[in-house]
Amino acid sequence: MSTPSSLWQGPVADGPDFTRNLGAMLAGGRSARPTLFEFYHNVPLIRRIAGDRPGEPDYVREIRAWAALGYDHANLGARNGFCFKAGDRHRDRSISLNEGAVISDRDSCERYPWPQVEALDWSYLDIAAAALVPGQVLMASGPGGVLENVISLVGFERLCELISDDPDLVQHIVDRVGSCLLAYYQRVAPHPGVGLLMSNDDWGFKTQTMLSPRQMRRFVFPWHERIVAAGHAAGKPVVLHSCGNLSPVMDDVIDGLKYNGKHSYEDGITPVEEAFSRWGSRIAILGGIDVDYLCRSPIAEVHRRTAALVAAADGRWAAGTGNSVPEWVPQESFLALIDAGVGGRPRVRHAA
Amino acid sequence: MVDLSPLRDAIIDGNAKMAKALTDQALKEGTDPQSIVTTYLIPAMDEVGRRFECNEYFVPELLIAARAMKGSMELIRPLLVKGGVQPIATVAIGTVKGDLHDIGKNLVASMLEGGGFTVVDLGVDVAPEKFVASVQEKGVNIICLSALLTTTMPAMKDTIAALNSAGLRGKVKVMIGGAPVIQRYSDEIGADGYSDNASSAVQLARKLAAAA
Ligand code: B12
Repeated sequence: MSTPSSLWQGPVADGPDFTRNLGAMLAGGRSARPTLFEFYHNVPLIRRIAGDRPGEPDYVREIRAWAALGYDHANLGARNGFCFKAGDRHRDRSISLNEGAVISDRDSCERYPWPQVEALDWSYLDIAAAALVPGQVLMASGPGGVLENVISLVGFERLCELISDDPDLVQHIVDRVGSCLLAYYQRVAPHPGVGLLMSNDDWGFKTQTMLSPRQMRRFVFPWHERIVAAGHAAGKPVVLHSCGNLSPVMDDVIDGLKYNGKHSYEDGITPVEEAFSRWGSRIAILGGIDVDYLCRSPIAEVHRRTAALVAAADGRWAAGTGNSVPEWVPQESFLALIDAGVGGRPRVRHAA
Repeated sequence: MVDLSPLRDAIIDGNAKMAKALTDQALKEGTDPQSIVTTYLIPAMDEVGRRFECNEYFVPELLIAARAMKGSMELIRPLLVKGGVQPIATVAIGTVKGDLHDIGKNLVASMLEGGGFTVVDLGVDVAPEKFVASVQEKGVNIICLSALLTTTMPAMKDTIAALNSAGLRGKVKVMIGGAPVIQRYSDEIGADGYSDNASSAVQLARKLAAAA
C-alpha cells in the first residue's frame, strides 16, 4: 500500500481533540496544536488511509480515515436520502438553461415532492457516532444549500428571470427549500456525536456572487441566519462552505449571519493568506490551499506554503484545501499539505 | 432619426416588454433596423457589460438585459436578413469535454448574441470533433471554449489540435475562458485570445472577427 517514499507515514499518534483544537478556534480562540479542516476526500484516498473492512458502511470507513489523517472532525452528509431531487440533464444541451429544472411556477412548486424531514430514518447518526474515536466529532453538512438547491430546482437563468418577473414566487420557493434545510439542521444539531454544522452553499464565482448582494440579503441570507441560530441553540458552532468571490458579503457572513468559520478559497479570487489577514481575527479561516495550485505545484512547495501559514496563523488557521480533495489531486501533494498542516505531530508508523 | 434613448434604457434596465414595444413602434415608423441595432441596442449591451465588469451589475441583471435585447432582435432580425445584412461572424460555443459547467458559457453566448453575432451553442461536455464539425457544417468563424476545471483545461488544447489535424486551424479563431483559465495558458496552447468575463469576450470576438 504505502510506498517507502510516500509522505503517508501512518496515522497521527495523538488522537483528535475537537474541544481544545478546532472547536477552540471556532469559538474565537486558538487551537492548542496545529489542526486541519476539510470538506471531503475522494474514495481511493479514503481507502488508502483506512483500508477496507467488510460490511462496514462507507461513512464509517471515512470517519476512521479522518481520524488517522489528523482531523478533529469528520464530515457527514445526510445518509438517509434527504435531498432535493431535480430532473435529468442531457449532456448535449445546456444544462443550466432550465434543463433538469423541475419548478417553473406555483403549481409545479406545490406538486414537487418536498422532503419530509421528520419521516426520515436518522439512525445513521447513531451508527456514525458509535464509530467516533474519543475527542472526534461529526460535522453535519447539508445536501447543498439554500441557493444551490433553488438553482438546481428552478434553473439559473430561469431564476434570474423570475427574480425580476415574479419575486414573490422566488420567495415562496426559497422558503420551501430553506425550511426543509432548517428542519434538517435542527434535527441533527442536538445529536451528541455532532460537534459542528456545515452549511454548504456555493454563492459565487471568480468576480461576483451569483445573485447581487442585495438579492442575496433578501432571499438567501435570512435562511442562513436561521440555520446558524439552530446550531448555536444546540451549542454547536456553524461553518460556511461557499465558493466564489464573497468579499462584498463577508461582513454579512461574520456580523449578520454569525458564522463561526468560513471555508473555500481560490488563489484567483482571494488567496487564503490574504483572507487570513483580512478576516482572520473575526472568523476562523478554514482550509484554503487552492485546488489548482495543489495539482500543479511541486510537493516541496505545497509543504512550504502550508507550513508558512500554520506558523503565521498561530492556532487561528486549520490547514486544508481550498475546496475538497477530488480524485485528480495528486495524493502525495495532498499528503504534503497534511504533513505540514499537523505541524510535525508524531505518527504511529506503519508495520512494514 | 427619432430619439430612441428610452429603448436603450429599457435594455439596460432589462425591461423586455418595453424594449419590444419601443422596437416595434420604431420599425412601424420606418426607422432603419440596422441603425436601431448599432445606435441603441449594441451600445446598450456595451453599457450593461461595463456595469458588470465594475460590479455595478450582477449576473441576473446581465441576463435580464440580454433577454430584452433578444426580444428586440427577434423583431429586427427578419428585416436585416431581408435587407441582406450579414451578422458580424458566426460563433460556436461549448463547454469542453468532461466539463458540465455552463452558466458562464451561456452568459458569454447571450452577450455575443446581444453583440450582433450568430451563436451556435454546442452545449456542455463537447468533444473536439464536435467543434471541428461545427466549422465544417455551419461555417463557424470563431470557436469559444469554456472550461471550469483544471482537469478539463487540456481538452482546450486537444480541440485546437483537432482543428489543426482537420486542416481548419487557419479558418477559425479560437477564444478560451472559464474560472481557472489565464492568458498565459491561452498563449501556451496557441489560442487566439482569452478573456475573463462575458463582456470583454464580446470586445475580443469583435477584434478577432475584424482580423479574420
Ligand atoms: C456553480 C458551480 C458548479 C455547478 C455547475 C452548474 C452549472 N450548470 O454550470 C455544479 C454543482 C454542477 C458543479 C460541479 C462541479 N464543480 Co463546480 N463550481 C461552480 C462554481 C461555484 C461557479 C461556476 C459558475 O457558474 N460561475 C458563474 C459564471 C458566470 O462564471 P464563469 O463560469 O467563471 O464564467 C465567466 C468567465 O470565466 C468567462 N468565461 C466562461 N467561459 C468562457 C469562455 C470564453 C470563450 C470566454 C472568452 C470567457 C468565458 O465569462 C463568464 C462570465 O463573466 C465554481 C466556483 C468558481 N470559482 O467558479 C465551482 C468550481 C468551478 N467547481 C469546481 C469543482 C471541483 C466541481 C466538481 C468537480 C465538484 C465535485 N467534486 O463534484 C464538479 C464537476 C462537474 C463537472 N464534471 O463539470 C472547482 C474547480 C477547481 C479546479 N480548478 O479544478 C471550482 C472552481 C470550485 C472551487 N472553489 O474549487 N460546480
